[in-house]
Amino acid sequence: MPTPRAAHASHRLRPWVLLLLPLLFLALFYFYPLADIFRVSFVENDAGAVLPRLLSAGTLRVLGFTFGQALLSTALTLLLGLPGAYVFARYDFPGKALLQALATVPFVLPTVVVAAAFTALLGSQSELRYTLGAILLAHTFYNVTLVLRMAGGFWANLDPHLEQAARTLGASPWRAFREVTLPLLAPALGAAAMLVFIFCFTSFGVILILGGPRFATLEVEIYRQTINFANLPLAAALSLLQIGITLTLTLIYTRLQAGLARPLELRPQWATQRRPRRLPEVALVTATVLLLGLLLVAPLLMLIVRSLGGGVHYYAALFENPRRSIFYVPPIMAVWNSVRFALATMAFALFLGLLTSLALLRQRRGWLLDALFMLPLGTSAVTLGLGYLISMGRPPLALRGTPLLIICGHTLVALPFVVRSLLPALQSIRPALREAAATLGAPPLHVFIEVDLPIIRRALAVGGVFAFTVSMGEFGATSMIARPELPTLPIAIYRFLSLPGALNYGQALAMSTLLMVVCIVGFVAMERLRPPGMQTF
Amino acid sequence: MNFLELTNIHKSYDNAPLLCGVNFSVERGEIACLLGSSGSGKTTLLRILAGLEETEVGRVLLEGQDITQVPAHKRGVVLMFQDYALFPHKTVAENVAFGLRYKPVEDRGPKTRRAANQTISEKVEAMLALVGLEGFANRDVNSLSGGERQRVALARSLAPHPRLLLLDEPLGALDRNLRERLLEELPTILRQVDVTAITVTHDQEEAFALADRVILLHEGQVVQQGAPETVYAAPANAWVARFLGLQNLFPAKVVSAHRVEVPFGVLDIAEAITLPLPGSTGTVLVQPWGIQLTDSGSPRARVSKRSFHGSYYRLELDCDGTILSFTQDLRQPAPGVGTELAFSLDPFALRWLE
Repeated sequence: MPTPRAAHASHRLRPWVLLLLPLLFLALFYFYPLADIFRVSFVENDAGAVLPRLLSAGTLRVLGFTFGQALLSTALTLLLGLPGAYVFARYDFPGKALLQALATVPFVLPTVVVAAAFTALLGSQSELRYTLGAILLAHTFYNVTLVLRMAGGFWANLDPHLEQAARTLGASPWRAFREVTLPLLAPALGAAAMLVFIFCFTSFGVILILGGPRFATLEVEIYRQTINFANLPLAAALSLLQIGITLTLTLIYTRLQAGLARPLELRPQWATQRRPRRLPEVALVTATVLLLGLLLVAPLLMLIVRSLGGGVHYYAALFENPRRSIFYVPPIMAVWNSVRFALATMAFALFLGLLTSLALLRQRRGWLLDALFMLPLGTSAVTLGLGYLISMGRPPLALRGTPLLIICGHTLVALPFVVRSLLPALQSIRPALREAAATLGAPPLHVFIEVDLPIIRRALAVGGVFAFTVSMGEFGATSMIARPELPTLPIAIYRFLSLPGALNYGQALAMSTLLMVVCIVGFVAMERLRPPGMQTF
Repeated sequence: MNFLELTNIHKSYDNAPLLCGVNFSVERGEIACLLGSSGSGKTTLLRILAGLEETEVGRVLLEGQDITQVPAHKRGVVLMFQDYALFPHKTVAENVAFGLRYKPVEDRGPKTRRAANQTISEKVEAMLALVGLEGFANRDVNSLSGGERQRVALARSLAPHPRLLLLDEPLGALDRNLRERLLEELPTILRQVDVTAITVTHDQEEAFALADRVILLHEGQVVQQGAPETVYAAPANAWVARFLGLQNLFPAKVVSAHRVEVPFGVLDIAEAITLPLPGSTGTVLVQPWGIQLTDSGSPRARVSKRSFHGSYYRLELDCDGTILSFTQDLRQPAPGVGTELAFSLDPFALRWLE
């Protein structure tokens, strides 16, 4: 006779108890706003009227440009990234670690900072500023690290014996590369290219600032239709188009990444790398290092140099509150706002992220839930902002204009990163450790405090810093919902950049420099804290 | 009343039964050893005892108390894992102290926190001394060798003086030399602290060296239990005999009260052994020590294999296609491969198996 198992039943219930708050959060701050975009596009407006507008020449031009610039950006990024990936994978040279760290810096920089840095590099008044070239260069600067890390990382661990075996079997160097290395590298390369494409496709800040009035991606068009023309139905329809395309692209990316799990005997990097010896090798390494170094360092250096154009004059101006200010408060308040929001976001995201990770850990078939919590990653920030704008202006959630809404928006964007940091750490804890603690007499809560918590401490710190920097740099969603008198740092930078006058421009650069420093410090802290073997993305 | 009693334990995975009605009991202070091939459910049985898995039917009684529903941390039953499960973020001393900190306060004696901590650190020192790891208290567990980790795990498991200690393949992860040394030390240490213990192993030599009693698991049930000597001398059935490494198993038919017919002739069996009625069929086991080699007589056989094992030889005889396997000590030179000879079997080395 089986007896009822009370203890067992409560055990099965727990994942759902843990998931209650995260799911509620996701429902209120993700699904509800998106559903409202649907409502505005289809229910409140004549559904028949939306389609012709979506298919208008204007929209098609925007769509064409969005795809075109993303394709060109991806191609340029691969062109510059592949030699870099090869050099990083197969050669060991002085300053390599520094260059590798440097290559990752752009990735943690907010788009506004990158855009500001490129205006500083190209000259704020020059003809180069509002060109396709400027956009492509900024995108390359931004994404080249993806190719270096994803393709280069995989390449570095690929056994050189495979290629050497092909050579001894009579293949020329080119044939050995084409028939052995390239096919093995293809999934990593494809995944990297796909991710670059997705990022460029949803690019917002860079296009808005560097593109000027001439260029608009789907993302920028949604923003303009909302803020400049108050055409919410068209903005909503464009958002749906955007959601459809990004979800499809993300799906393809996930497929490609699954292909990376090919059973290959990977070699430690010391076994695959050597110093360049022959002259062509030295030339290749030197040229690649110089080119990459120039691409990575020049914009950031110019940003700092130009921000110091008037000594510390531009920085000092941040503390003043001139009478005809666009903010009603000293600009430095934007820094304070950003820090406050970022700290709150960190707390929210860590709390919800920990609950989510613990629930996912206990779930047998967690992939569906896992995918659910990753959805915000595949949704554009501007779309999210539009959703908030539409849905949060009235009860039940009349939060428009409140700091809480900004914090919740940032938390939603940061949550997938936090879960991605915590879950692998929790999964790495062998169940035997928790069981050993239990048989030694520790009650469940103590097992968590004494075993899980100390082991995931570093991952918690990484997730926290991630959430902090994501919040500090978030621009797309915030630009749709921030109140004028409550600007965040990226919003303030954007407004200063759009205003004429050297002082405004100088202040934008000064603030960008400050934000850059915060993000780089955060990034260094993350790299220090990251447990060995943990992936960034 | 038995110290530990398991009745009718059932467990299945994905609808495939793993344990189907396991019953056994253990006396206080005894070292019992669960022996079975991999996949026989030994480890699952330990986990049920520790409270990490639940039996579908049946009960576990410890000192007369039904602990079937008691959660793991309230049982006072400590499991030492095969891979030790040392806490990587704690030092050796912190690992050993872990269970002590969860003992009820009255067990610790003094009530003040400082005094309690003092007691704990003294106890930790004593445990480390017991397992031969003096001076290791502040070491990082990740820097230890396999043998040292095993000792830390043992000290950690023994420190809170569990009512019952469970050891899952305690020597399984060690290399051969270390294994032999610890095989002698482990029972000594366990007896020194006077703990009741159940170990699990798939290696019969390890079980024989460690245990007061071996419990053989096969197809989800206990097939035999008893003192190692008894089990080895009189396996309950052909499976047990084969599992213990006994190879001379022959189909047989009873011809009279003390005689059986096997493929290579008719054998006399010791009178102490009761045979079934004449005409019954079964299996005869010949122990590997029970042979006399002679130059003439019958039955006759040819040496088909000879290997040297340091303190003895192992010989294989081919008798008209039937292979018999024996050990021979070094007092006389072993015959070479191909030698034709005669042999006789010791009646006391023969067993009738159903």
